[in-house]
Amino acid sequence: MSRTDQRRRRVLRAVAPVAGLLAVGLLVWQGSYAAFSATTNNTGDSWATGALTLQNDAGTGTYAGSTSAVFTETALKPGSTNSKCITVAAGGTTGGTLKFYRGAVTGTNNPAALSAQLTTTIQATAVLAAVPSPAVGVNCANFPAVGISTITAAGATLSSLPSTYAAGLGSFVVPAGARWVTYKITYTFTSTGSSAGDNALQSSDAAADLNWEIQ
Amino acid sequence: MTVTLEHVEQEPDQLTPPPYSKKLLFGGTLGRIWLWFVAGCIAVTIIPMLFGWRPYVIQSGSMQPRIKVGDIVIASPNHDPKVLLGHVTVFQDPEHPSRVKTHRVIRIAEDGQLVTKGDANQSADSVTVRVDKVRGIGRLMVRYAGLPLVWAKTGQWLYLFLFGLSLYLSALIVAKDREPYEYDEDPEKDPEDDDALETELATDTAPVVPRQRQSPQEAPQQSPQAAPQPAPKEARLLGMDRRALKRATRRLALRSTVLLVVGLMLALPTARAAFAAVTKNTANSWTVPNWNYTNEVNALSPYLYWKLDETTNVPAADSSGHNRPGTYTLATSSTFAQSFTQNVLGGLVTDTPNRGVTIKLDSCINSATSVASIAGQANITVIAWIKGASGTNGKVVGFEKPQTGVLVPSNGTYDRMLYVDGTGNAWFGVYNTATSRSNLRP
Repeated sequence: MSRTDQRRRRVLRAVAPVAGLLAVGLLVWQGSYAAFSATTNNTGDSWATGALTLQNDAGTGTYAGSTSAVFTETALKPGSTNSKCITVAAGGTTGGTLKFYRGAVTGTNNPAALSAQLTTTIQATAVLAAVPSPAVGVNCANFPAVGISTITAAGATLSSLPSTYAAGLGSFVVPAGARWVTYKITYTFTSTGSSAGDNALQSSDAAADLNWEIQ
Repeated sequence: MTVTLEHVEQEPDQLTPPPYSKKLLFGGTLGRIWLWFVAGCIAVTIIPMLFGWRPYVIQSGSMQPRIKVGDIVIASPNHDPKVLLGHVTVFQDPEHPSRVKTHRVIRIAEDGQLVTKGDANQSADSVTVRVDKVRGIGRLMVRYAGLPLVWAKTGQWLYLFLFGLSLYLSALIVAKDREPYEYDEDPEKDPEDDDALETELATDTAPVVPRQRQSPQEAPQQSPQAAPQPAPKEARLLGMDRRALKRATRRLALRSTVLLVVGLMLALPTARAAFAAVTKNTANSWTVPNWNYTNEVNALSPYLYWKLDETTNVPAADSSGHNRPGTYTLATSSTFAQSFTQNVLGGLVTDTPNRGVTIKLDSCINSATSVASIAGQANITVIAWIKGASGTNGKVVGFEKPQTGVLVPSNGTYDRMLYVDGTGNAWFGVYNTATSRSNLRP
């Protein structure tokens, strides 16, 4: 072996650790350069590709992240009942688990007691790979009679519905790509069982968001 | 075959460099770079732990494109919301307390909790984070360094195997690519005196020795070649033992290193940067009005509505707004007090005032003479709250011809009578001679 060869070999040996560590430094620098700056938050609709998206149509066929109420129920009395339908659309390059939960129950007068008398049943279709057709209107015209599941427990009330994703109802496994699930939400104002109890609910009101989340 | 070829290359008078020189040099250099790189990644991840910083391997992609799956985020403890605001923060997931999540703090809620969001998510996380659940603020990130762990956790065994293989091969090739004088495995050389060898090499006079790694089975074939340089048998045996020991030690060290590397990487804590999206149907409302009995009755647009809640002998007021009052008409030859008991409480629990009247004897309340009589109606609706007592009976409401009081059969005609019979039955009948009547008892 010539001395040149030996020298080259020694140089290369000395360079190798330097090159390896420089590459580490590059990764660390590249990682830290952008990731932790305070200004890189995506806001509004400008989320990155590959993200999950979730929207609902409030029964209108037009999808948005936040839609206005389907239930605006006035003049309730024991026995009052109504059903509304909402289709939720999920999209993105990753899948997730879709669950339903309610927002906080609010109100100006006795919302807790009223929401405990609003017996709620939620039914859902399977995860659909196409927009429901014919369209399911807000009043549940065309809500299918078969292939649906009831995701609430018997006797569930607006009050007892879960309010977090972790406890959420449904747990539909949604694969990547565009998917739809239609929900039918039915409430019945159930009597407390006594006139005095029912009368205590006079002039009461309750309000809540209906939430869907995919993770 | 192979052995034969090697023999040709190993002609003692042939001074060509050993066959591995260029390729092995290249491979060895690459192997060294790779090993140093992996070791460097581990060092960068581990060393900050000395200052109390903690590395977290990112397992999912909601912080893309800034933080990718397999990146290692190194976070230092911090619980100051003002500092955390806007920064990548590692915290205990409030929804899954056993998991750690890495998201950005986008604002501070009114209750002081942190609102977090994945950069790649469309909306903020649905549950806020208590400041004391924060593990740290992102300080350093090592791109991709946690990938082996992600592969292990997600069962991508092929990648993991390839990574392990690359380390192993690098280690092997680096072990092979050494200075020639380091080749102590050469059976023809007495390896005891490395210094002597070095001297030999330095003077460049020593013949190039075969550097073939030799298994004991190959030794006999090699022996003719080795014959010109015989070695004392004992020394050779001793050398073999030492060589075997060295080889075993080296192998052990190599394997321990690989195991240590893999072990260290697998022991790193992981953090989720979970994809999530929320959609809301907002402000659904349910309202119970103040149901008022008077309002409910009047909502039916009655012809007249007597509450009979008077407390003195005045005309019974018409609450329908149609001004069709009634007259308290006494039973024959009786006083008002004998005919009526007013201000009887407990009629309708939700109505105020909550009063009724007890009608006794043949007394009644009839429409005042000022009220025009109405023609017979094909359909009528009568709503009356009555509370019967055992044995009490009588008409409740109906049409009669005179407007002057209780009808006696000789006094005129009557029709559409609602009455109770004293045994709990309510009846509705029409004139004449009870040709039709219905029992309304529920």
